[in-house]
Amino acid sequence: MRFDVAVCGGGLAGLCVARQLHREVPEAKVAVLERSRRPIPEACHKVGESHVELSSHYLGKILGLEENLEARHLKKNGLRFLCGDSQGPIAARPEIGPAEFPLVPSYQIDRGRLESDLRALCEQEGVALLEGVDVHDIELRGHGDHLVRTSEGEVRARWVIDASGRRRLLQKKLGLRRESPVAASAAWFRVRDGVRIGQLVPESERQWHARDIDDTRWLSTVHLMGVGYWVWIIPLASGYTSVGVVANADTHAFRGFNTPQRMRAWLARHEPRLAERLADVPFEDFGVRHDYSYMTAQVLSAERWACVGEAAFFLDPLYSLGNDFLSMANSFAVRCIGDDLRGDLDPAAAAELEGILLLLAADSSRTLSGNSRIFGDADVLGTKVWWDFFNYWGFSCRFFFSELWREPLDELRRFRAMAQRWYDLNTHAQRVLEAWARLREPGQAPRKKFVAMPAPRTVLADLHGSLLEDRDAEAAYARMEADHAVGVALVTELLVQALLDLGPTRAAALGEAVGLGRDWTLPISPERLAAEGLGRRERLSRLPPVARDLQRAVGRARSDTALAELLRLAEGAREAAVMAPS
Amino acid sequence: MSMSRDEIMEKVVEILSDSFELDPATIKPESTLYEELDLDSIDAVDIFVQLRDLTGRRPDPEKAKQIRTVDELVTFVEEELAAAERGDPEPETPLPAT
Ligand SMILES: Cc1cc2nc3c(=O)[nH]c(=O)nc-3n(C[C@H](O)[C@H](O)[C@H](O)COP(=O)(O)OP(=O)(O)OC[C@H]3O[C@@H](n4cnc5c(N)ncnc54)[C@H](O)[C@@H]3O)c2cc1C
Repeated sequence: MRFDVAVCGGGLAGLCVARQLHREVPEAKVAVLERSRRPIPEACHKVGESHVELSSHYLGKILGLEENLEARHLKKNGLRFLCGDSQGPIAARPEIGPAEFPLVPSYQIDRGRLESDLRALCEQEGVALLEGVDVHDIELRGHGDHLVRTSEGEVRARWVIDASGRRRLLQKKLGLRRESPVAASAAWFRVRDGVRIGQLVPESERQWHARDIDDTRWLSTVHLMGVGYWVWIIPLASGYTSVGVVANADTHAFRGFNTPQRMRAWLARHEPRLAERLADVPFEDFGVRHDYSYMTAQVLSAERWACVGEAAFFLDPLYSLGNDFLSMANSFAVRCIGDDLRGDLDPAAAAELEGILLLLAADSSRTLSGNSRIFGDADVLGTKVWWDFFNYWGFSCRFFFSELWREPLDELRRFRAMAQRWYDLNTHAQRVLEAWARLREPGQAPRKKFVAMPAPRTVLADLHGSLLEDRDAEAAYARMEADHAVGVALVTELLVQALLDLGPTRAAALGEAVGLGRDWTLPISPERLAAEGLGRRERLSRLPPVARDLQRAVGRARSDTALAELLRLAEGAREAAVMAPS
Repeated sequence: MSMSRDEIMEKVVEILSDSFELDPATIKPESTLYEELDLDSIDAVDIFVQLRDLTGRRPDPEKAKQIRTVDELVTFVEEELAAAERGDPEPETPLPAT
């Protein structure tokens, strides 16, 4: 058998890439080689249910599945975090999440249901869906077709896409695996009940319930946060609820929650309100993943192969980015395959696309590691989520929504350089957040009971909404450039807030940790600092809008004694910033 | 959810003092929001977002715009609570638009 493209593995990544090939490179002869046969269970199939903006855009718009998503899955009310004391009532925990149902759509997906539908669609569209086929080996060849050896014989193909999930056929064969900075494990299960966060809060908590005007809080991916861990609660259209524990190795031993029985004990200890709700509810499809995170050295090659989905890399589920990377890897690979079959694949373009993908992966690995203390600190977490969403919507989502991977080589180069600038900014931000949480006195009363994310009428809400506007490459670039400038002011504000909050002695340690006066390269304007000494109205008139918006959302640090020290630190930082090449 | 006028006033004072660095003692029923308390239109958005938690309703921007004093704000909350009690529909384009 011979094909233009052999997709090894027909899970979410493989089925999506086959569909995308059918839509964008209709002349390609495509085979999907998948070990399992139908029927597959609807709900209790796989994790990776929570989809955020980028992957939802991929499924809805790029793959044209919008109607299917609306009819067969749940529209999601964003990501919601409940922080603070897990031993007390849920209503007393600070809440970070959307105040209004987000305009940019995202979904909770029943994986079995979606994969069944995708298998049927692929078949209808003329993809050769070969089920019950076990791929044993992929032999890459420099010239001519690659060779795929399977339980059912050999398949030859011009392109091979490894979509084998954790099996990672190519990564293992080529020795591409790299370590990830995330060291964490997860365990999960489904329950037949609709477990809703509102059920854990008595009716008498009127204000907590009143905040949820439309009764849509339960449609969020709910994260219960504690030091070194978080628990997900994801509602599914099939009526099931997905529950999972994700815990960092530095604070929680895997053996503490790696069986159903231990899981119950773990929940009773760390999340007693949820444990009470689940007391008589059977756990179905209990699954675990020890030390789940890994990186890779390569995902895409002009030598006619690509790794997509978990066959490429997997970092961490905190912000549900797994399927975002799947969406990007698929799209970048399909572009290269299209170019190749039309006879004009430029290896340099493939290299740029891969460079962008690996840079975004590195960016996310900064965002997703070193967070144990932050998970237990509502104030720092609120600030972090604000920045992380800004970073996510400002570059990754803009890049993807504007379909910039289709651009010619010189444009790709320009956007890769832009990605690098956002990466540098994020590196600064994560340094501040990590050190701030580490140096902060634990157990402080949280500043806000509810942090709207994004808060209405803020720079962040505007950025989010802007994803729905069409933009060509030129306009997208201009907006990224403008948002990056706002981002510089925002990260500077993170630093100012952290310094003020920590007070004079610890501020010096923070300055040391983030490299103030050494490699901290963002400008700190003297006007911004001087504004701290002024009355409210006067101060606000001098703040950049993004700084005011951040304070409106997450609150403001006040420490009059820290101001002098802050000014001194900033002076040193400014000198260094002037000297450092930008 | 019934609240007395005094309870509402207490809540309003709490929201204003917590959010805008105001001394609770300076917040009187007759205080004007934009002059005496020195708030601006962005602050107004934040006030109404927080009042939703109290009323469980999205406010009508036309009504909200008319409010000048703390006392009027209290009356507004009172009316919103009554509307919620009656199950009145929300305004078509409520505050806050994103
Ligand atoms: C704990 C955890 C939570 C997560 N939560 C989220 C989330 O909420 N949101 C999100 O976006 N992402 C999440 N992810 C990531 C998400 O699970 C993945 O992005 C996604 O499931 C990967 O899909 P895939 O197609 O690459 O792999 P899979 O869905 O595993 O598909 C691989 C397919 O290959 C087949 N296969 C394997 N080996 C062979 C072989 N040798 N021959 C033939 N066929 C083969 C398998 O049968 C399977 O069908 C999570 C990951 C983890 C570990």
